[in-house]
Amino acid sequence: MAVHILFNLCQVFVVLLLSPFFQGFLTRIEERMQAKQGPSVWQPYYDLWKLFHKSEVVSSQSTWIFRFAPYIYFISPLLVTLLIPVLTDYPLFMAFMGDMVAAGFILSAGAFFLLLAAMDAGSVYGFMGSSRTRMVSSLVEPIFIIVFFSVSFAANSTIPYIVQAHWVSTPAAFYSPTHLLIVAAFIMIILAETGRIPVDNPAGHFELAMIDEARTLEFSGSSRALIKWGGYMKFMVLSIVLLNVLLTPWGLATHLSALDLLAAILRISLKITGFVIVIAVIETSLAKLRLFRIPDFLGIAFVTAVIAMIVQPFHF
Amino acid sequence: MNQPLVITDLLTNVNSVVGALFLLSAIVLMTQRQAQAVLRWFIRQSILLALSAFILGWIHHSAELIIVGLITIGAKSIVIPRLLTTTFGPEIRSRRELEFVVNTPMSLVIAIVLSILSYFFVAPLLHGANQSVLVNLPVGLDVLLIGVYTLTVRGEAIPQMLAMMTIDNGAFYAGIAITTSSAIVELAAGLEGVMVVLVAAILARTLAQHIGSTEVSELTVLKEGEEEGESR
Amino acid sequence: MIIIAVPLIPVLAALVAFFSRRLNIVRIVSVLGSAATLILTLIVAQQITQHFRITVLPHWVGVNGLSALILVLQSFVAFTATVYSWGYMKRVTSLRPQRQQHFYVNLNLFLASLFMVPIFLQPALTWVAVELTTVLSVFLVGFENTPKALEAAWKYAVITIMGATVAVLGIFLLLWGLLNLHVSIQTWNTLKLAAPRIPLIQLKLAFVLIFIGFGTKVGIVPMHTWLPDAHSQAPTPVCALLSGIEVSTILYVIMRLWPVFEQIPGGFAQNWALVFGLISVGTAALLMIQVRDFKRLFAFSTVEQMGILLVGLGLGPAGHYAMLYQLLTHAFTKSLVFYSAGTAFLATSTLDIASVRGLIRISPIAAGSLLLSGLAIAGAPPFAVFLSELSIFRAALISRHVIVLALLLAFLTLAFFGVMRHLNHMVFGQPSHPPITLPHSVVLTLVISWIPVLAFGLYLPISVHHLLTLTTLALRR
Repeated sequence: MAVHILFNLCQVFVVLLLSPFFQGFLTRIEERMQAKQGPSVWQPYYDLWKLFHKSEVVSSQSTWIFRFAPYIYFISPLLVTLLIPVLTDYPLFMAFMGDMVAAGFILSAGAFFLLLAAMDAGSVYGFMGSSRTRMVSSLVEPIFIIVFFSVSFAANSTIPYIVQAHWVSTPAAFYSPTHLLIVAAFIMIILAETGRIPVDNPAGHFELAMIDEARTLEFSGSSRALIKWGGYMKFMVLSIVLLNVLLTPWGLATHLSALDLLAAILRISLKITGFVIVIAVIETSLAKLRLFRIPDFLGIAFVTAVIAMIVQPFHF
Repeated sequence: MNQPLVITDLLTNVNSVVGALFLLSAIVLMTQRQAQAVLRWFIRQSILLALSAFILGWIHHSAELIIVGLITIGAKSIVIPRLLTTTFGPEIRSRRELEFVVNTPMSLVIAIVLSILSYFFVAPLLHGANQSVLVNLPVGLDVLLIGVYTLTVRGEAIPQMLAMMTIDNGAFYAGIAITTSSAIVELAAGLEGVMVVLVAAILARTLAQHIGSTEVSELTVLKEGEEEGESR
Repeated sequence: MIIIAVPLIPVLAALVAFFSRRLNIVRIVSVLGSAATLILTLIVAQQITQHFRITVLPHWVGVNGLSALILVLQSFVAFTATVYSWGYMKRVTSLRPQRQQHFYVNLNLFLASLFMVPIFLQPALTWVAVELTTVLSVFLVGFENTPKALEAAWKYAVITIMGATVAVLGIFLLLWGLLNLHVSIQTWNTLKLAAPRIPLIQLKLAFVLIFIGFGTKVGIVPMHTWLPDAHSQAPTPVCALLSGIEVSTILYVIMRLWPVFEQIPGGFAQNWALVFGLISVGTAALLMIQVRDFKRLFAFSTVEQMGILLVGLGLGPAGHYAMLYQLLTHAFTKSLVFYSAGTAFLATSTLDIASVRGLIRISPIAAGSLLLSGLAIAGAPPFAVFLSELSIFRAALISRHVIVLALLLAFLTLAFFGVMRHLNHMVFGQPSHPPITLPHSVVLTLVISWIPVLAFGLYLPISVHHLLTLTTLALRR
């Protein structure tokens, strides 16, 4: 039991410490693909270090929400980490405290507080960013739900550990159209939720075109750092759900040993690195959609998820 | 378990994946707004169809199906796109946004309804059917219906032509799984598909020439004019 | 062997038309070719009445009563159309000789594809032939190269090919049923025999796909949108072929599968035919009133007639004889109507009803023929359609479809007034154009086409009756 708790905490630390690296790696690769030099892979760590050492400016008009939102946003992906199989394929201490739906809710709770905080400061861009993120995530949420439905149809459960075991149970299950369609829909969700390119341009500095970033313009100092870090972790957590639960449920630690756990960290890192390269390819080969085309993009994701559900009863 | 059986199993599974991608390609094709994107998705879709034909040909030891696959690759992913780009180069490459009669979210909802319908219709037929029929029949019917829908909401020549071919792809996708032994017909019909597009392309080009501009969207204007004239 | 020659002759004629340098040779060859097919198909029909069915290549090529009937009708209209084209194409066209030559090449190829439809014994091959009829007639519809004609051709191609593709899935489903029963011969006959053992839902799905798919090309109402355009924009001889016989040829495929679908319990297929038939008749009758183009008027009349045929099909065994009789009279009368409309077009060079007045002074032959053939197609007493429609009413009464009968009567009355209102406007009044004389070949065609319309209106020869009775057997399960 104690080992389980320890491993569970281990997962949290892995996500906490590695997530900026993947962000830096992603930026670096993209810049390289566009034939540019690009910042160092460790740049996000420097950024966080710098921001934590700066003093913070808080508007006197703002309320407690503005001060608390960054913490909530920072903690929500960490909570999710407790629920999902990051390193081990056997359930850990907190595994049955919540399922994938709960994970989705926790993540969106964090996003919700950030949204309130952005409006709280009273800046125009904050409002704009909030309303746009609302538009995107109000479209993403039904897709999330449908994906979970499809998953639960297929695996008879939404507990991530059980779902993960289902896909590898038979090749027929792994190769079923449902599985593929769920994965496709989920990748589109990740792109939308983490503000990646067909939906939002994370590298853009033009306030009027921002979607996700516009919410964070009012934050400074350590609040800003927390929000950034939270964003990195959110991306990593979602990738882990995709890779470990849905797409490639292999390479996790199977034994209750520290050595196996270390090896798992390595393997998972490799998997995420691979996924990051895929994301970089997607981002460099696509153009950002106009705001009113985003519903089309998410509509396709929605249809994909629904069809995954329709197809399911025919494949067992 | 001997070696060929494992391969057959694996191929059947790959065929399922191809089925999912095939369906997805039809839906994406439906929503694309640029002629070139529509064409690209059509090519991908045809390659998936051919892939499925190859796989089923391997599983059922049917040389005809492999020939059908070859014809599909040759005709639909090489000849037809080549033909279209040589006849309508500027229109296809232009970044003009194509008009829709129905907006995309509505279309997607309709696509869902069509998917549900097609599964609903064929569900009773699937009892005891083998894995490949299980995938190909409903997906084929679904792509066919989505193609019909795409054809009706597209007002322009090139997407209409490609939607027509999508319907064809859908019918054949179902066909290759359910009639594995009557391949002569499929051969004839495959060649027919090429002919149909040839005729349609020539017609569309004449149309573009005689209407006086290369904008194929003139077609819709004409159509509405006709209907107005009739109702008066 | 004769049967295989039937589609080959037009192919040869097309080759001659393609390579010949003299236009007159092309014309003569086309007319002679279609005359030869007419004679051959009459011989086939004669043989059918004695042998019941003829098989040339087992499981591949052969005819029964129904296909023989269709062949005779096809070759008759083909013959009149080629004769008519002689003078008509010369007159209408500012066309260069080369364009006329193209016309004959296309026309003969189209005829060949039409003849191919009824002679195959396998549904899938028949489907290929049906698709060929579309592909080969697209350029005939858009022959005049005006924006309107091209648009009509485009709609025709896109919508009917779509229909055929939907139908092919239905055919695949039927073949799958055979495959599951381990029947390797896929002919109409084996389908008919295997039908009771094919799962019900599969038959139903196949029926719906085939009915909608081929129904699109027959011009059944929700899918009819291309028909008025294509059947009015094409050159007149082509209109006569399309309206007179092409639609019936496609309906033949549905009829050939009817014994299969009739075995679906609960009258599933019959009800579909009745409902869609009545919708077609009603919609066409309403649209005929507000039409502004006289070829379009007759195109809508084709939709209406196809509706009547479907109703006849849906009435069950009682309606079959009447329906086939109607098919026969429709082919003769509708081609005649289009030839008459073509003469009116020759006389006035417009298709607009409102701008044509006093046709009787412009060209008495055109006016007389148009008015009388309009009466004939609308179902007035001394002509053939009257008798056939009457027999459909009788069949409806016998099979106790009183509501169907009432609706049919109402719609047909409406359609009658629709046709008459427009023709009345065109034929009488102050002449709007100077008088002309018609080309001899056109007048000759009118004379030839009038013969069966009048003759079958007065009495039905015993040999034809025999053929029709044989044909109804093909519709039995």
